This record gives sequence, structure tokens and C-alpha cells, in this order.
Amino acid sequence: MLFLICTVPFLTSNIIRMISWIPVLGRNGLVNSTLIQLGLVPQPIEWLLYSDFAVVLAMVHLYTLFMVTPIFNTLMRIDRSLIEAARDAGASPFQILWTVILPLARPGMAIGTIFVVTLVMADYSTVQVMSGGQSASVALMMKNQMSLLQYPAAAANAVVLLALVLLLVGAILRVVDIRKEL
Amino acid sequence: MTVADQITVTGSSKPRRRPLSLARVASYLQALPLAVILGFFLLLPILFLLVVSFWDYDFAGLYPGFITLNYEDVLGSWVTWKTYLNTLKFAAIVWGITLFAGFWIAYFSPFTSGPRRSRRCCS
Repeated sequence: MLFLICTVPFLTSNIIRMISWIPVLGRNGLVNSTLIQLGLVPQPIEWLLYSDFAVVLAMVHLYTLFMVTPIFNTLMRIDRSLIEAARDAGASPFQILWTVILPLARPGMAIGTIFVVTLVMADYSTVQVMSGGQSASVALMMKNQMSLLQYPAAAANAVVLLALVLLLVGAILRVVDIRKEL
Repeated sequence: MTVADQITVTGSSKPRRRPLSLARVASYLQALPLAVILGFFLLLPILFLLVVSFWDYDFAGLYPGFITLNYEDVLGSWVTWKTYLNTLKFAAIVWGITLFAGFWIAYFSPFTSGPRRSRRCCS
């Protein structure tokens, strides 16, 4: 059921889901009007929309499922008897979580990390819409260069970004050996 | 494979060698569609990107050539570095939150080995 709830938003497009945050977070939006009617704040909170907070919120909303699915996959493959054995050996629920489940979920976490990091590094529409042009990302910079017909500058930027992301992915794969642990 | 090669070489019998080479070609053929798709849609654009990144440009057009001015512009301006830092900051924050939330959502999903499921199996 939780998984189904997670998948339902994916029936609409990325941009639509992003824009739907605006009436929620805006100055006269749902959150602010509710807070004012409850008397919690005297005037609307300004940093809800068009700020780094909004960008992070929208990105988390958009990309959590890319993290959930690989971890879900690895968790599903864990042998139940391992957990039973740990419990029979006298492990507390926290110990089971920390010493059995978490190490076995590491490959899924690594795959999800690769997804999320590459997606965030390449994201420009979220940053543009949710920060209102007040925050910048590399992809947004490239998009601006391309709209100014500075294709070679954008290409050079893209090569640098590609190298950086490849380095990041290489570092992640160095930390967690996906093939060995999967 | 090397052993098989040695056998065929020492045997030097042509009819025996043919099925081996055909099998080898068949495996390459099986890998061909993916290689073609990846090469056309992934490697070729990246190659173009690399080539174009060394070209010259002004407000009117692109001029094929080989200059490193673009890279000097990209790596030499503090705006770029700040933007990269900003992007990395977003990536780090979003990664932390999604990892935390993602693990617990997956953990408490009904199909995985959450606490509820495993308790039911043992009692």
C-alpha cells in the first residue's frame, strides 16, 4: 500500500508535480494561509517558495522513489531465516537492523545513491521553477548558455560535469561493490 | 578458450574449426543490437559533445577548430565553481534525505522483511 502510494504521483509528469507545489507553498498558499488562520505566524513565511528549501523539497518529492525501489529490491531478497537466526541468538531489534539488514541493503542503497546523485546533478527544471531563478545549478547554467547559442561553452561545461559525475559514481562503486554483494 | 584454440590449431582441421568461429560470431551478433543502440544514442552524442567543446564561437555562429578557451572559461570563473558547489550541496542534502526516507519506506513496505512480517512468521 505504501509502495502504491509512492507510485501514484508518477502517473503525472515531473514538471506538473513540481508546479503543483507552488499553490501549496506560495505566499497566499495552503501552508501559509493555514498557519495564519491558526494564529501561529503573524505574517506569511517568505522562505517557503522560491528558496533552497523549496528546491530540496521538490527534489526529495521527485526522487525518493528512485531510492526506495532499489532498497526495496535488496530488502526483499534478504533471507528471512537470517533475521530469525539473529533473533534466536538474542539480538535486539535495533541490533538486527544495524548488523543484519543494513549491511545486506547496502547494494540497493548504492544503486539508489547513483540514481539520485546523477539525477540531482543533471536537474535544471526543478531548480529553475522552485528557486524562481534565485539559485543556480550546473545544468541550469548550461541551459542558459545554450539559449544564448553558446553551444561550445555549454559543451565544455557538460564535459566537466560528466567527468565529475563519473568520478562520483566511481567513488560510490569503490565504496560498495555492487556486483559482489548483489 | 585458449585451450580450445590450441586444440584447433594443433589439429588444424578446418571443418572442426568452423563451428567454433561461427559460435563466436553468433555471440557478437547477439551483443550487436545493444552495442549499436548505445553507440548511436550514448557514445556518439558524447563524442559530438567532446568535439564541439573545443570549437570557437561568437554571437553569430560556431567555428570548427581546436581551442581550449571554453575550458579556461569554465574552470577559470568563480561563478562556475560556486554553481558546482551549489549543485553538490543540493545533491548532498537530497541524497541524505532520500536515503533516510527511502530506507524506511522500503523497510515498512508490506512485502519486505519489516518487523511486522517477520514477527508474524515466527509466532
